[in-house]
This record gives sequence, C-alpha cells and structure tokens, in this order.
Amino acid sequence: MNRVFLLIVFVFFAGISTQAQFSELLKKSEVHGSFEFDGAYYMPDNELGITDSLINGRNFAFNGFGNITYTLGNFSAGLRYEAYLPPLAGFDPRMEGQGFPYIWATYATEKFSFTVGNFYEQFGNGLTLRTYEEWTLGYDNSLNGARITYEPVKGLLMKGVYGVQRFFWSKYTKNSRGIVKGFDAELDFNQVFTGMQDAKIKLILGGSFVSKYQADQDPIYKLPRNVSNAAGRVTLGMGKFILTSEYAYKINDPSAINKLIYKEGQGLIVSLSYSTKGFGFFGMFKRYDNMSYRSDRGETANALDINFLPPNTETHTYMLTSMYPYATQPNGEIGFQFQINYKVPKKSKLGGKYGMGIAVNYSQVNDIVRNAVEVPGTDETAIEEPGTLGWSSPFFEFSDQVFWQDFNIEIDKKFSKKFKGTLTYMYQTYDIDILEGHEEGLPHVYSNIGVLELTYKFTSKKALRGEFQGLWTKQDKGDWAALLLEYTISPHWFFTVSDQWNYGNPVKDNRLHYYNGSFGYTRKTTRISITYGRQREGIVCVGGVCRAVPASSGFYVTISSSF
Amino acid sequence: MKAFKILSLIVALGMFFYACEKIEAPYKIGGGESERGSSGDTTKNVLIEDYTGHGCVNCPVAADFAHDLQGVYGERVVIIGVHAGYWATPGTFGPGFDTDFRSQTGNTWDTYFGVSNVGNPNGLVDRADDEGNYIVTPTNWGSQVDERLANDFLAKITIENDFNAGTKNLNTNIKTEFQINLTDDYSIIVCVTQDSIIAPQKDNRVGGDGVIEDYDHMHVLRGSMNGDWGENVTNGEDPVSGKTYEKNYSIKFEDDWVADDCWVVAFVYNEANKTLIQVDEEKVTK
Amino acid sequence: MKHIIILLSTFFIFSIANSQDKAEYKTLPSVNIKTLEGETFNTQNIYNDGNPILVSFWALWCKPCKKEMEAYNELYEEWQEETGVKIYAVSIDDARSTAKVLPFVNGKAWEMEVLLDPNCDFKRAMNVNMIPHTFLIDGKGNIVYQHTSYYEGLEYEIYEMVEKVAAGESISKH
Repeated sequence: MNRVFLLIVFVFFAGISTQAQFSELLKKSEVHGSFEFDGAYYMPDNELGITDSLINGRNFAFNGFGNITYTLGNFSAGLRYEAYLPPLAGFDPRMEGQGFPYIWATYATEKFSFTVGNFYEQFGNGLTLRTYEEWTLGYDNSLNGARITYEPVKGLLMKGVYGVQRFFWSKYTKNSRGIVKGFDAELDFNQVFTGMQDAKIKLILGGSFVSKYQADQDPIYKLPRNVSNAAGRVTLGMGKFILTSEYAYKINDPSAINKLIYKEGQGLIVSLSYSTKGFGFFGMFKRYDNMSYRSDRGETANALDINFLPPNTETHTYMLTSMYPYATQPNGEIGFQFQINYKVPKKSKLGGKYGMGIAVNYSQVNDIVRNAVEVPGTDETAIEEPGTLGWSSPFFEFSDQVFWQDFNIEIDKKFSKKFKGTLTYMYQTYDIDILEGHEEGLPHVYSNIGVLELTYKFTSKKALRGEFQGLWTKQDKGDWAALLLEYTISPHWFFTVSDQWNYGNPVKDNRLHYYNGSFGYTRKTTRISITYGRQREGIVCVGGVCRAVPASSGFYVTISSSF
Repeated sequence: MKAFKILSLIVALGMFFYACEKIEAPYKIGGGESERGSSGDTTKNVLIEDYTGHGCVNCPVAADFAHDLQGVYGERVVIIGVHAGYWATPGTFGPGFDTDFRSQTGNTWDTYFGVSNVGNPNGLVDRADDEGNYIVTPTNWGSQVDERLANDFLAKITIENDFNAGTKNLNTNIKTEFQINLTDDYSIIVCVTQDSIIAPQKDNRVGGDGVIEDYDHMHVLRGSMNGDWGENVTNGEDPVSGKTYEKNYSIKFEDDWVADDCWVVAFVYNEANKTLIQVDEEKVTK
Repeated sequence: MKHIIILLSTFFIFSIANSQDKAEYKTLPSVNIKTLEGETFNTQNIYNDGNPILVSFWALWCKPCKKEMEAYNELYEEWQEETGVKIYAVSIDDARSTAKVLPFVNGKAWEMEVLLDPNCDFKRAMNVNMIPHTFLIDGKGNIVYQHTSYYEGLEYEIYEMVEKVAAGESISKH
C-alpha cells in the first residue's frame, strides 16, 4: 500500500520539478543520501579448515545499501535500497536478495508529525518497543505502517505507532506474523509547569503501552492472540545526581524462546549517576524475567523483536577484549554495574602536564532463581515445562550461576605533545555454555586481559599507533597475543598491520596466526578501505544482540560515502 | 490545566491500545495418545520430521510437541525422528550415550535442508518451504501442521508389508493412486522407522545431570528402502487421475532393528520443491 | 512494480539533482533527540548566534571518536576565543549506556555540548554511515563541510575550515 503512496509522491515531485514556476520552491528542497558497500572475496585456507567445497563457488559476497532522503519544508521522504548477493559469511542466509525494504514519507509541523511507510522508534529504554537497524549485525526490525507524534505543549510528547515488522525480504501476508500497535507519552515537568522551570529538581515521567496481535493456529495450546507489554519510567535530576528507572510488565506470552510457558514477564532497570567536573560515578541494577517480546512467537533467530533489553555490561572494542562479549538472556538475568571516571588534574604530581584519565568498571550478571511450578491437571511440578507457568522467581535473588563478570581498569595519559598512551587491564568470567548457546556443560572461561596502546605523533599529521595485547586463560582456546600497528596521515590515509596469535591453544595444530593488512583512503565523507587477511571465528555483539562470525580468509573491501 | 486534559486523553487512549488476553489454566487443550497406521486414508496427511539428537537438552520437548500433534490428529500425522548432526554423535555426551541413532539417509537430508546447522531441535513439516526456508521451530509445528492438513488430498498411498522373521527380510508393496491429473514430477521415498528404543537422553527439564537414563526413543529413522531421495512414482509420465502406480522394495533388517517396533513410512513429493503431497505409515509386522 | 519504482526514483533523483545546484547548501533536519538530562531536544535548536558550529557523532564504544573529542576538548578554549565556534558532540550510544554518557563526559571534563541520539534518528537523518563523522555548519545554518573517520591531527584540518567559515570565506572548492 505505501509503495503505491510513495509512487504517487514521486510522480508528483518528478512532475513539478520540471515546472519552472516551482523552481523557487525547489530551492528550499534538499536531497541527502549515503551508500555503503562491504564486499569480500573468500579464499580457501587449509589451516582454518576452509576448503573449496565449503566455499562452494560463492567466493564473492557483499552487503550493500544506498539511502536517499528528500526534504521540502515540512515534507520529507526517503528510501533505502539493500542488496546481499550473497550476504557476507556469518549473516543470516535469509538476507540474501535485493530490494527496497525501507520506504517512508513524513509530514511534520512544530507540534505534529505523521509518518507512513517504514520507521524506527524507541519508547523509553526500549523495554516495550524499539525498532532499529544495525548494519554490522544485519539487523533491521523496522515497523511498516504509520506513526503519529504530537506535542501539544512544550515538554509533553506523545507517540502512536501501528504496523507490522520487517522480516528479511518476506512480505506480510495474513497470519504470517503479528501486528504491533503502541503508544507512548513523556511529560517533562520542568518544561510544562511554569512554576518548575527554574526548580533544582528535574522530573520527567513517561509511560508506554504496546500490544501485538497474532492469530492462534496451534491445535494443542491455547495461545493468547493479543499480548501487551506496558512500562513506566522516571528521570529525576537533583543537582549532580541523576536517577533513572524503567519498569515493564508483560502478560502471558508463550513463545519459542520461552518454550511456551504462560508466565508474565518483568523488566526493571535502575541507574544512578553522580558527576562533577573531572569525576563521574555510575551505578545500575537490572533484572529481566521472561521478557522476550516478538511479533512472531515462533521466531528464535535475531529478527522480529518488538522490544530491546539493554545489557548492563561494558562494550569492549580491542581485538582481544572483545573476544568474549555479552549476549542478553531474555528468559532471565539479574545484574549490576558500577563505573568511576576520574580525571587527575593537570599539573598535579600524578597528572603531569596534561592530566591523566582513570576509568574503573565492574559488571556482573547472574541467572535469576527459578523454582518449579505446578503442571496444570497433575500433581507434579516442573521448571520450564511447556503449558505451565514456567517458573517462580524471587525478585531480587541472584542464582549461583554467574553468566558474566567483568572488572576492568583503563588509564590514559598524555606524556608529551607527541606521545600518549592507554593501559587497560581486564578480568573476565564468561559462561560460554549459556552465552554462546552450546549447552554442552563447558566450563566457564576465566581470562586476564591486558592491552597497552601507544600513539606517537611524528608531525601534526603523521602518527604511529601500536596496540600490544594479551589474553590469558586456561579454558576454551587458551592464551592469545595480539599486535597492531597503524600509521596514519591525516586527513586521508591509514595503513594497518595486525596479528592475533593463539599461541596457547591446547591443540597444537590450532595455534594459528590471524594476520591482517589493510589500508584506506578517506576524503570528506568518502572512505575506502581494503583488507587482506584472516578473520577469527568469533561473535559480534551490538547492544547484547549477537551474531556468530565464522573464520574466513581473503580480501575485504569497504566503500562508504554520503552526500 | 490543558496538560491534565491531555493526560486523561492519554490514559483513555492507552486503555484502548492495551488489548490483552490473560489465558487461564489448563493451557494445553490437545494431545495425548491416539491410533496410528495406514487405513488407505482418503485425507491429506502431514509428515513431521523431528531433527533431534540424544545429547540435545531441548529435544525431548520437541518430541512431545510432535507426539501431542499426533494425539490431536491421529493417523493424519506421521512422525520421523531424524538423528543427525553434532547432538546425535555417539560417545560424546557421557556414559551410556554410545548408541548411534544416525542413518545415512538422515545425514543426507540433514545436510540438504541444513537443519542441524541451524540447531536442534528443529524440523520440517511436509518439507514445505517459506521462500526457500524449510526449517520450522518446534513451537510452530502445530500451526504449520494445521495449515498443511488443509491442503487437497492428491494421492492415496497403500502400504503392504511382508516380513520374514527368519531371513530378517522385509518386502514392501506400495500403491500410489493419484486423485487428479498432475503435470509435475513426483517421487516416492519409502523408509523404515523404529519405536521404543530405550537409551539415555539429555533433557534440561529434569534436575541433576539432566539425563533420562531410560528415555523411550520413538519414530527413529533407520534407513530408506529406495535411496535417499527415492524414485519417480510414475516412471516419468504425468500422473493420471485414478491410475494406480505400483512399486516393490525390499530391505534386510540389521540386528538391532526390532521388527515388531518398526514401521514403514512412505511419502510422495514434488521433485521441484521437495514438498510432500501425501504420506502414510504401516507396521512392519501385523 | 519494483522496476517502476527504480525507474521513477532515478528520474526523480536526477530532476531534483538538476535543480539542486540552484540551492546553495544543506541545512540541519528537524529531529527530536535528548539532552544529557533526559529532556527532549529538537536538532533545529542547534544554534550559535551566527558563529560556526561543529556537530560530531561519537559513542562510548568508539575509540577514535573519543580521541577526536579529546582533541577538540583540548583545543576548545583556544578555538572559541579565536572563532567563537561551538561544538555539539552527539552520542549515538543506545539504551545500554545512555545513562553512562553524562558521568563519562563530566569525568573527562569535556566542555562541549553533548546530546544523546539513542535510536540513531539524528544519525540517520544526517546520512551518517559510520562514526566518527563531523559536520561544519556556517553562521547561516548551512552544512558546508563534513568528514568521516578520525586520524591524529585531523583537528587541525577541521579547524582550518572553521577559521575560513568564521572569516566568511567559501570552502566549497576544498
């Protein structure tokens, strides 16, 4: 339907653009766009176990998109073309194909906006609804339908959404997946009530309701067709303190993820921060219990999530610190995090001429406690049995099973105008069985990780950066060492060589080097980079949503630009 | 004041959007035991292929789903348990897990449809695909079976078994009678499954080490009587309505195949998209 | 259907592109994002009283971004005195760490304006593919220069542009 609508819009503008009298109007029109191409040429690699037959003729793969946005005053419209022919290794094979998965048009005034087509939206932290797109994951759960936002007075913003979600290239047909509707309102007391404008206490309240409809075609289980998820949130600012919290409650939602249990779902996030110039403290607590919420109760891969469950762990980005990343466990997890940022002042004994930054972070996630519940119609009790309430769980209790633990400290210091460095130490506990979905009874991975990063500037535009990394563990693949050297000439060039060496692998034949060489050129918004080497088998996570990447070997090209 | 008016509007709107359905126990309304077997059915039947493994902790739940569906639809639902992939490997999941339930035919199917690659438990329902994706999550088998059962009855399969206990040789006669004229190419696969093999199985619903020592493995695929992909039913001609096409196959049972617990499962599928038009099963011994 | 859309959109883009050279520059879109205190902030309110503005997208998980911000921060005082430039640092951290941005920014003693774009609405509207990505906006609100990625020393290149804009020179040929 909205394709037809867009077509009309396009015809309209294509038509008027040829009319001279509209040229004045068109002077105010703007076209923006961007594109990206990520291509790979895979080659066999005996050491990695990649053979010609495994590649099966699909040596070349790429993911690409092109985006066009058009704006004219209050009106804007856009579309995105995507192609995965075939998708890069490690992306969902259902992505293979090409087309326009994202087409939209919006009319917006100061108080009001109306969007049809595909859109991205987030209510609060996303516990009830978040549609977003993450290129590196190949994730896109955009809603296709309509959205209205209305801001009757400054400080009160309401949003309503209605639609169906994108599911790779699959068109919506009757009962193929659920229909989502949602409503959100946020009230900023200090803006709405004139008496509070200069108050020391800042208060923002918000609430959201989301409901999904999916037909019940199951002959064995009585499934709820309408499942709603509601949340309330608060942001309270008191001088240097800011407290934020959101609590969500979801009614019975039997699904493939929770194995058809009829338990309610709950989610709670509380965070507190305190900061002054040069010092910041952050602490948070979160608990999720049966909070997976999707527009198809049968979907188990990374698709059709209606809500988003933010993890409470730090995101690490060095080659070895990101080896064991955290994946949110929607069926249940409880955890907390603390962080301190401190800047040792300039010209102090420790700070030296330029000061020194210290960041300490600790996070932990455990399983929730699960007790057996009655199996209806019998005298038995069970945990996680389909057709029961699943489990009962005391709200604030941590189970003995630790999913994740991460203590890390990062110190950055500038020694002179030319020389600076960062030192990172991390101790991590990782439940590889649960977080990677093995369920093989593998032991937890305990690792110590150290990274020293040094940057030396030869001139104001030329610099050499080195990363020296080590990961030491007795579990999984054993010890690793990694080295990276990067030479940059601002603003255009970079040259990088790196190697990750699994020197401590318990299997001698697997003590492999994962070497890489790459260079790139950037001009304004255009960036081209070419890499040759090996990709380590691993896991890429963004926001606790993860994708497994297989080992590969070959050439990789990325071209990205915007205008 | 205006803000409060708007707030009450929000609440009213919220109530409207907040449609919900609280389901009361019992949640399970179907399932249980039921008759099995071929009666020269005059309805479209559905095949559930349950790709499983003795080391897979979530697989017994899936087996229960399939079993419950058979409870609801009786002999209109036929199940094959395909043990393939990592979770089916013998000798890796602890003491007692040394039975090899895998079969060459099962491995071929598993590789072709990529099931264990995606993960167990998973399955195929009538080998029907959704834009190239054949794999159906167990929790969706119910709705998928429902949908497939609504398809037209296109062919009738009649299975007659003659098992010689002395030579352990099974001779099977299969008659396929098409109900309408068709134009595509159709093949028939005839295979043997076995019930009631008692052996350990991992199950995360039980406490302790999560092992059921005396698990009852049902519908275990033993092998095919006419190759991994069977044979063209009509020997190349377009299927003619009312005409019966006859095939004869035989297989020698291995020592651990208990004939009294075995079934012959036969299914006819479209060669172009591998999707079944009919399936039936019959006990090996009367 | 698809072919028609491709055809028409191509025609449409070309016809617009033709008229585009009449329009001088591009401006900031109107998107609702958040301040560090959680208030809603419309991006049309990015304003600096006729002086140049830098809008830079970054995130806590992006090391080169943080280096770029550090570099700006060190020079910010000097730059402000000379050109009156104002820097908006837009964090695209999602709900996982939006609440961590404020203590981080204060912990680093950054002086620039920091905004939160947790669902990447502003990033999308600005057609930013990867971060860091920095936009330079002149006194009239036109986007006159942009650059993606950060290498040591890029701040000087950016600042040259800022100086030109502050002096009212054109940088379109650059």
